[in-house]
Amino acid sequence: MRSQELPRRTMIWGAVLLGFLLLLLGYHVIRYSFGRVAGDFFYPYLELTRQGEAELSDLTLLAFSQQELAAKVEALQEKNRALALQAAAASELLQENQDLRKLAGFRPSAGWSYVSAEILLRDPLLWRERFSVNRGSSDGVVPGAAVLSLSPEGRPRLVGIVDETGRHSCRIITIFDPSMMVSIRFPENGAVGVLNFGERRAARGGVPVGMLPVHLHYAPGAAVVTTGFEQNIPAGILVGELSSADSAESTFSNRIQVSGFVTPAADFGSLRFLVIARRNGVSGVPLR
Amino acid sequence: MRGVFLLFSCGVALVIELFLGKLGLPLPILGLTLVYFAFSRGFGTAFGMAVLTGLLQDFALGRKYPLSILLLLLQLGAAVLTRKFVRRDQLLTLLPVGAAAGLASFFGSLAVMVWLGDGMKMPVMIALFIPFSLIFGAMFLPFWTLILDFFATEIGIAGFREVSRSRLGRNRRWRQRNGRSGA
Repeated sequence: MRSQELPRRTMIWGAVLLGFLLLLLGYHVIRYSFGRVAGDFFYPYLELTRQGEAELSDLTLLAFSQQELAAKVEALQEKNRALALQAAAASELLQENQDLRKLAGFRPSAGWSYVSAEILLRDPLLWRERFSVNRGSSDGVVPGAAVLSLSPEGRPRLVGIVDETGRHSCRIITIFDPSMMVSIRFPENGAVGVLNFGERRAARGGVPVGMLPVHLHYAPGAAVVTTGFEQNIPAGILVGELSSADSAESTFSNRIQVSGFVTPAADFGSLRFLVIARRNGVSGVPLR
Repeated sequence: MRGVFLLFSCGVALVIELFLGKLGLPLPILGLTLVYFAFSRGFGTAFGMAVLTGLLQDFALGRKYPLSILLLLLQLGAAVLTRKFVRRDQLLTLLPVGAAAGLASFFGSLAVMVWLGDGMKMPVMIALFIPFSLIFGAMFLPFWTLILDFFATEIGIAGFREVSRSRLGRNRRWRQRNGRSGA
């Protein structure tokens, strides 16, 4: 009896292990087929926990006294007035830009609308590289769209791009993900490079940048912004500042490009609310 | 009913783990739930659930590699091995088992971070998370076992303690029949 049982058990475990190995080998194929389905499957449960978290966060307001709340409301009203004035100035500039484009015979520039999003899911093991937000294709979000965070002063900063979209959620890869290559520009000297280009990996909080023209000087601390070459990433969005750059050792060097590291402007440790850029056609509010 | 309980418990554990992960807490709730089922339903059932829930977790987090499956199996393996060296009839014997699973989860996560991340905060992480993983695993497994056992009893199926008791009784009877002594 026992001798019959043993080969049967061995066969069952062998089949299980074989199936497991096949599953590991075919993981990529399965992921592409069912990955987003799983994302949408989890959406209602995670959205529920997010709403609970938001309500709990709202309840903490009750811990403030009436005077403190009144002071906060006044401060916010003041900030709103300042932002409204900035928006009015920006609208004037936009109008002027459109008029000048018309006079010069250029095509009207692509307009952008923005949709706010909140982080739904974040991988604790790849904390700075990828996460999911609660906006999807039903909100007009498309793969490749720029994902921005706002500084306390309201200035947009590049966080990453949309990688995959589900109906109600989408997956974001950040500039720390080696697969996210995006063109960048140094307004200081006009040089253009590519973020995450080459063999280097993000290290010490910096993201590698490559393909920088060798004949220009790169000062640490120089601002780095987006070029707008990519279809779904607006130009001029702050990416970060240069932390270090290689230099060609001598005039006889045959290097044609140099590389360096950029310290991102966005605070990846405490991201929660984000903004996703949508290129024209979908309703939304102008950012600035 | 057993299947529903198994799926529901693992589903809840998965959602809790995903929620805590969003807050930056990589706690092995799902792994410890599977350890519970490995002891109360058998290793095969826990293995199958580890593959299924690990796959779902990897899909949800959009991972390029099936890391969750491997991490869950690592935790299961550590727990099952540790349990061989402790008495099996008391809830408190789950303390070292939970600690081992917690530690396995930590070292697995650390290996993934070294492999895929930049390893920038490793010394801080090791100093902070080794005691945390040990304590969390040791405290959470008996606590979670009590909760799951309570619900199992409520719906009329055998929980960890009942299964342990009946297994011990069987072993004792077998020893008595075969004239062997032992604890």
